[in-house]
Amino acid sequence: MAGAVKAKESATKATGRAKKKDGFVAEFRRNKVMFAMLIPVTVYFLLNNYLPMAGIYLAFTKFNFVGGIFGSPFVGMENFKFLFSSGKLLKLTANTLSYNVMFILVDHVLQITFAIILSRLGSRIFTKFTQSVMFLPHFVSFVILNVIVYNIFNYEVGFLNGILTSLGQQPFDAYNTPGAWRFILLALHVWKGVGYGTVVYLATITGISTELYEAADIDGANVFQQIRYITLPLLVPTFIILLLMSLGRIMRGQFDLFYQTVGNVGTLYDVTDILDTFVYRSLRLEFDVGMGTAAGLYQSVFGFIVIMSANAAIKKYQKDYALF
Amino acid sequence: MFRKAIYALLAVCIAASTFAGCTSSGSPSTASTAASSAPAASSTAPAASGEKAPETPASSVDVSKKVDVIMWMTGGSSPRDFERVSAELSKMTQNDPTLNCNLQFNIFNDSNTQQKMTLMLSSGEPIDLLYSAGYLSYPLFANKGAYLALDELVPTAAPALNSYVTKEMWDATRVNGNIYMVPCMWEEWVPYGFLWREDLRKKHNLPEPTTIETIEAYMQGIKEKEPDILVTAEMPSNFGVIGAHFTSWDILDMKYKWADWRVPYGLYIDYEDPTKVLEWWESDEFREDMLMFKRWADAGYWSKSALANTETKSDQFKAGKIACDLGFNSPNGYAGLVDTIATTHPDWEVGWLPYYRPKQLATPNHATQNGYSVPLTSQNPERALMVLEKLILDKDYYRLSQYGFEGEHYQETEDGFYEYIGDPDASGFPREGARLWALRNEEFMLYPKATGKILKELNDEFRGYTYPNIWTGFTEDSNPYQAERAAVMNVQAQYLPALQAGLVADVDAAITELIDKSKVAGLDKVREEYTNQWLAYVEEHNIGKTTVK
Amino acid sequence: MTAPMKIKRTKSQIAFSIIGYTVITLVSIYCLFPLVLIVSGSFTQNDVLMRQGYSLWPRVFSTAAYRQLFRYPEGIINAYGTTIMCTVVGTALGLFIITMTGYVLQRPDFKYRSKVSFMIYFTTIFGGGMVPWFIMLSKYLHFQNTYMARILPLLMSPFLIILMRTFISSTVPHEIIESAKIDSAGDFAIYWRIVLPVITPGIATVGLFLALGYWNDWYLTSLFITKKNMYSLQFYLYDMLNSVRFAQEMGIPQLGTEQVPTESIKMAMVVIVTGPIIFLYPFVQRYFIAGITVGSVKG
Repeated sequence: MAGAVKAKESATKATGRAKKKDGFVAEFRRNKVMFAMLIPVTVYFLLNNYLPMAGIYLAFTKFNFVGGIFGSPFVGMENFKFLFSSGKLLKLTANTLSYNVMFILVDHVLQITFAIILSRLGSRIFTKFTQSVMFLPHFVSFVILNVIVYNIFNYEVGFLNGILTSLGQQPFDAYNTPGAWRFILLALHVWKGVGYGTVVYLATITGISTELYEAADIDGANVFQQIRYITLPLLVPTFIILLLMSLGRIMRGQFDLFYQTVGNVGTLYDVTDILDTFVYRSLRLEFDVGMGTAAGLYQSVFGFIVIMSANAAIKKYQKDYALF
Repeated sequence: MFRKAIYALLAVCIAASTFAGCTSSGSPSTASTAASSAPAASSTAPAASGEKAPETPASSVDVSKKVDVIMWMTGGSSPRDFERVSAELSKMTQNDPTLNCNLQFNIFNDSNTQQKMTLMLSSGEPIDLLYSAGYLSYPLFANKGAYLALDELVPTAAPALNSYVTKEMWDATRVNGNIYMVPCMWEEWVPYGFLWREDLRKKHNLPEPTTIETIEAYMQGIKEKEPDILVTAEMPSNFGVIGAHFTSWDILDMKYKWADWRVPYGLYIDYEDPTKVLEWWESDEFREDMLMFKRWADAGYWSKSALANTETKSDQFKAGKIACDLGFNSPNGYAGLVDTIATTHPDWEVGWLPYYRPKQLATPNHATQNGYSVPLTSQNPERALMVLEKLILDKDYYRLSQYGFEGEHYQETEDGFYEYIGDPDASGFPREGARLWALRNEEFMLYPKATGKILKELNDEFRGYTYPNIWTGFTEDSNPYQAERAAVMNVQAQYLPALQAGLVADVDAAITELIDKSKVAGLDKVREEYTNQWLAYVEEHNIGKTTVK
Repeated sequence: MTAPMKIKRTKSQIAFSIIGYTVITLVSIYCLFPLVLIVSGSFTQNDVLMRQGYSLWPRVFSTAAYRQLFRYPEGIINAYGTTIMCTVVGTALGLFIITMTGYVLQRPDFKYRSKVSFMIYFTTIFGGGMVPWFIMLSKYLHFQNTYMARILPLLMSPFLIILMRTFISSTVPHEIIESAKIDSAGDFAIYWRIVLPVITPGIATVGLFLALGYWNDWYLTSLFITKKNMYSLQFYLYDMLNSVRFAQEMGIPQLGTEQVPTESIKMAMVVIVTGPIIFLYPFVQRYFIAGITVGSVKG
């Protein structure tokens, strides 16, 4: 397999070098069909994303309905002020980052583990059933999930304290214990998304040629060795791509997860407040398009820097794995 | 790498330029264009609609051309037969030669009405009539130029409407001197009040809740004698301009004579002396209130997890989970509750103490509470106002739009009440199901048979000690301190609900923290600006000299 | 020599199976637990549910929530219909475009593949916000009250395109494409006849994600659709809940001895939305498991 990768690489290099000198016209003539095949995607992103992107300008204006997007008065960095003057920006950025890093790490470790296990268990009925089960939480919105969460953690009548007190333990006051929420939120996040993510890895594993395993078998490699030396390395490209995809959004949080569960519990904010919930709360009464866009732009620029650095680093290490 | 960034930027620039060409097209269809062409063919107008009072001055608008009038109501679910009713209304407006237009009735489908309004208004979508309300940021939208000024339009286009709405009501809707809303003329009181299970009170011989002390005694009695029932289920709320809070705050309506309603930023303005803006958070009263809440929280009147509670209180009350509610809202809701409980739990009794009663001070909804505005994007502002006039002042239009088809959805009883035909719960068009409450008109209104009696009694009581609503007409212009306001509100969200829920270890320390953090966020500036604006408003409207009892 | 190897392999096989079954069983229980509460809640009498909370088995059984939701079955059936329609059309169209794009973007001989990937990825980081996007779709594309509004925005996403690109490049060896080119096959023909047939697990994955996006959609309907007969399933249910609330706020009396099951109805909604997917998912699963069995049977 390593050989195959190498071969592919050198082929890439060769073709790349040969075409380096050609301009756009030559490339267009050569690959007309491929250009044509990109038309739908181009139209989609142009209309759905790039044209509306002009609205970023709103971050620098005081929006009014007479002027619209481009006629409203320009106010420079005024709309960013509420982020910086809050004195909480650093804390929020740190919270958002740490939650996201935690989510990304735990997600991928669990998803890869589950995908590998599911792909190698013998009982088809078992794997089919459990896979479906792991997938179902995806359909439960956080609003509904919170009903359950509140029923579990409510101090007086909650499920958890019911069990604790019947075991003779002290009841647990979750909604006044900030530290607990790092874990509860992580657990909820995993609950909701693990099946979804596992599917991606499962599909990748399915794509691995069976010959590789057969060869390993003949060489006498046991299950763990096969996983270690065949499956895991082949999952690396997918992992890196998914990682890079999430890095660009590292400043954006899972708004619904945080807002629906503990969005109103001020006593927990030091631990549970992320940028998205903060911005939502700040602007709930303002309804100011400019300030909202400004906050979004801060998140974008932050994400942009992170992703550009990460992509550059990965490109240096292994060109094929880079996102672009 | 950076080349790519430049590509992207380039694309954005191209996008920006294409967009720029278009957005300015959402410019106003100025009132003058239509008004100037008006007088020519106006003699056709007064012919039809025989039922209307003859002395009503006729509109002087040219209606020779058939146009569309697009109307949007506030958000929510539309009744099953909504489309049939709106088709019938549309037929009426088309066949009416005084209107000659095609009325298109729409209801926002979402509960997030304010967001939807912003999107619709900024997208330049043609809308002729849009529901508008103080709690949906009417002043803010007016300030930002979303609506047409109606000062000159209404008298020419809808003279009957112009005289139906009193001068005081018109004036109360003014933002920066202009009228942007046709206010609702129906007088309504929507106080908070204490709702309790009267049967439990009788069972345990608890005192009748009339004061804060007796309410506390009632709660204590329930806590001791009804271990299976929770006392209350107070919860966090974000309703209104006052920002994040805890619903225990509602009971303070009983104690304070707010200038109609609570004031944001930890301030206090008294109804009887509105020229004084006091610092409430710093006062001894505030401290006492918070100590009281802490006492109640410690006694377990609401959950230790109350800040995360999202279950509607009235649902829990109806299910028998809680015995009382510190902030049950509106006579309408109470009348409905009494009626529901009569069928679901006939063995219960309930009581409601509207917080107007102990202080003998009721204030009706302010003019800007409910109304219709004409957005800047309206293609036919005159015709829109003429339609509005009909919907409010013409009995046929009124009854159809508010109650649906007579004989199918409802009937008028002999004593003049509204009665459902068939199962009300399954009605294809419930009473006021099209959400046109901003068009309510006492003259044509039919009170519901089942709940009308309670409603009328309560309204009569309030009318006995009602005083003008002075506060809600005040339009805060937060532009000069928007960043500070956002920051202050954020601090409040973190500290105030916990304090009001009594879920703090030390009340004094928590108050200090709330105030200190707010000051860092810019509380002083916000308060100063707000106070200045308030005083200017009081001065301008002569409040404090004429209106105070 | 072979004998000890065999034992070792079997040992590791057994160890793996024990760990594997245990782990997956535990995870499944974890995932299932709240769902059981939800299903049980949907079948519990509302008053009891509110007073005593959720339980693994209904304390007092009641189907009131479902009866309320299916009171006018034509509405809910219609919502299922429009949602299935959007899901099928959107997924098919989306899959076609996404696979095609993914294919071009992984072709090493396509010079701008990296730039185009970047342009696509860029949209996940920067966006103009909701207002300009809404203006674009409603004012310029006139999507208000059309199925376009429910289908087109969810047609693709950078995530799915890049995922497909990675999937193709790791499944289809470049040599195959090269040799097809030497046989003078056109670029589209290579995509259609050579690439598409071998990436079924990828198609199944991306198709599943697309379908879920359409199935769960609530947001697009809330923004663009005001006609009841065009509502998506999720939004239709939400709207029903709203009208129940409305009736209560307006003090509309409720006849009969039964009150509107406000709490259990929310849970029943989850069941109604999720139910059909339980039937869809095993169908998609075949594509993951088919490939695996070939490997594991021999291994």
